[in-house]
Amino acid sequence: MTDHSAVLPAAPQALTRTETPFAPDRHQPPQRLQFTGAGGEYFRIWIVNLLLTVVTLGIYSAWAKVRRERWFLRNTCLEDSPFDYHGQPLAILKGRAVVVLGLLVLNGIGKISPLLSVITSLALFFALPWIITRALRFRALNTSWRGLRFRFCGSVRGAVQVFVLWPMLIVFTLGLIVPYVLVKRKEYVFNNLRYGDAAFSLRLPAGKVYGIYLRASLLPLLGVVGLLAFFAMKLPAVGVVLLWASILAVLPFVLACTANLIWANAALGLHRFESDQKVGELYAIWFKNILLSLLTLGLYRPFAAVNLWRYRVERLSVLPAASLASFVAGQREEVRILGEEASDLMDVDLGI
Amino acid sequence: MPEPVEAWFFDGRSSQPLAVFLSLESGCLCLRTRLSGGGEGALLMPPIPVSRVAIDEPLGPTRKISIVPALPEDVPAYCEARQGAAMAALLSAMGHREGLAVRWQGSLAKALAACAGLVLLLFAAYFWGLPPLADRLARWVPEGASHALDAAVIDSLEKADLLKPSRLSRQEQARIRTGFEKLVWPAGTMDRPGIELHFYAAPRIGANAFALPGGKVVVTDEIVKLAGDTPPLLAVLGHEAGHVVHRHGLRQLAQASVIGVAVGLWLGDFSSATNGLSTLVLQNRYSREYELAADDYSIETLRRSGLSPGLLAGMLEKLAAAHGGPPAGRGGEADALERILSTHPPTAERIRRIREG
Repeated sequence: MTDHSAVLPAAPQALTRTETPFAPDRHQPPQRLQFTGAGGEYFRIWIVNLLLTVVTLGIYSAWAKVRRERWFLRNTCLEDSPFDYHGQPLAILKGRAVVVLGLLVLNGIGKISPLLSVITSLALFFALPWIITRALRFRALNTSWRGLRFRFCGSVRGAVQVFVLWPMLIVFTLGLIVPYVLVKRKEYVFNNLRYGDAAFSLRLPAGKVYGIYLRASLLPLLGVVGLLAFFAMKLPAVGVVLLWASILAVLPFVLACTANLIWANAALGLHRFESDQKVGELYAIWFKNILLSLLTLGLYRPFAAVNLWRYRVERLSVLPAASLASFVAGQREEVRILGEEASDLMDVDLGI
Repeated sequence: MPEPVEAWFFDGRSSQPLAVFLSLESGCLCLRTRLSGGGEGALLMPPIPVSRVAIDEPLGPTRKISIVPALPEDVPAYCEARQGAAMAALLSAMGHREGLAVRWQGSLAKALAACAGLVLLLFAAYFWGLPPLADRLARWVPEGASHALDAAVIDSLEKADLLKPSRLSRQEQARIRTGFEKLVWPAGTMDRPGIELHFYAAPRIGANAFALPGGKVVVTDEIVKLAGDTPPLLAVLGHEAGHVVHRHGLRQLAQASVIGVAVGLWLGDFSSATNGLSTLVLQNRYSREYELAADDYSIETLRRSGLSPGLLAGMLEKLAAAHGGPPAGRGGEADALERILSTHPPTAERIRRIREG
């Protein structure tokens, strides 16, 4: 092997969690993520995707999804290296065919027999943890940075706890446990995520999450009061609309604050993160997105998606504890086994 | 010979970037190390034949050139280089051509043409593609399912106290049934769709007859009284039989499902309120066509039995009067709005159509 040290920055030994206590390396500046894509570019991809999808009666949608994910990830750069997406269209097509078939059947069943529809919905609810775990594994394994793949190692048992058992308590606690369930979910996803041989970790302070939700619920509480008032005035429709509007109005606040909180408490090995989304700016983006989407009957949607993604990406920084060149691929065996699974995994479109 | 392209090499085993030069020599891609002074170092690995090089679509600021591993256990490595003239020259020297989708995206004009093409396609699908598709889907629904659906609907109407036991005598009901059978199945026809008449007293619904997807037709005592005589009643029953024979109920169901899924895909969400509303508007157009088709079926069966289509028009007028007010049809904005949102075409329009033949 030829000597490469002439061109390479000095690569320190990869730090492991047990070796040194966490101390930010002051020689490593924070690395802000960048997004190099423009809305117009994505619009063209989106429209061609849509046309080909309609012409092929939806079959092309799997290839369209791959192109969309790749465009977003390859335009997202960290230290001048873009991320990448490796999903195989055929695996995605399998997953989508199952989903669409299932929806048509559910739609039909719902109209014929409400009882049957309830039974199938319950069955789906219990199958959810398994579906979610597979989707997370697929997505992680097909995302990479600098040639190393991410991995999701969550067990179905963990998913059952977080997506079935904890949510069942929501009814008993009259909804007070919702923020805590969210904390558990995020922790489940993060703590089972790996990059190369390093592991992500997240320890969210539940108190702060409750703080965010408490502040956010002030407006919807007014909405509930308004709902009751309008019910009394025999105008229930207005009351419902106002309640929905009040919930929608606090969403950007909740999303920005929780994103900042999550990244502040997350780590990858010893590297830390920082997210500095501003609530005001996110409101402005949401407002612009919604207004222009309505005015253009939905044609602005690709631009809206790019606006949102760009904001969230460019507000995220990595605080390296060591050179970002020091990651190493995970154990060869594990990577190979998971690699074989990836071709079988169905990709299910879930908004996690 | 294209000049060497500056690139970064990643070996897939670590996140360490390696500065390299890419060049093409005798059909093989050569990677040479890039020295800090800018000079070319030695070959990093044996030259790679172009057949083992995979070039990704241009997405993002850099172009990715992957090296397909020789053995399946090997880790895939790749190079990344900025897009530019040098890169383009190297790619064309390697004989690479961009895919169809990429070329279409390249120009805004083509993208707009795609947009227009899409809109035209959607219109065509809605007007010409969806009806036959719904018809196909309707044929696939097993009889047992549609009978179960009918039973469920009648059950819920009975529970809601909207349908009560009929006050008509058995002879009366038998007489109407015989007349109906003669109308719809002229003697000798073996192919009988399963249509059953069910009589109920329905003071809260009033004079009405409606067909359910599985073949049951509900007839209220009130409409029997309104008709006065059997032939006008048979005209209305013929209309309902038309709905069953043409499978309108099931086709409506199928269309609703397909439109529901399509609107959901466009809006990106399967259960929003807007989805429901737009679905409703889109479906109503089909309901109107079905009503007119059922009218035609009734006219055909009436003529076949030697009765006048005017009987149907007469009943429609009586029904409109019974349900309040003269038939609408003064034209103008209110009418147009009613036309878009309602499931039945304005009665005056139907009456005129029947009388004009």
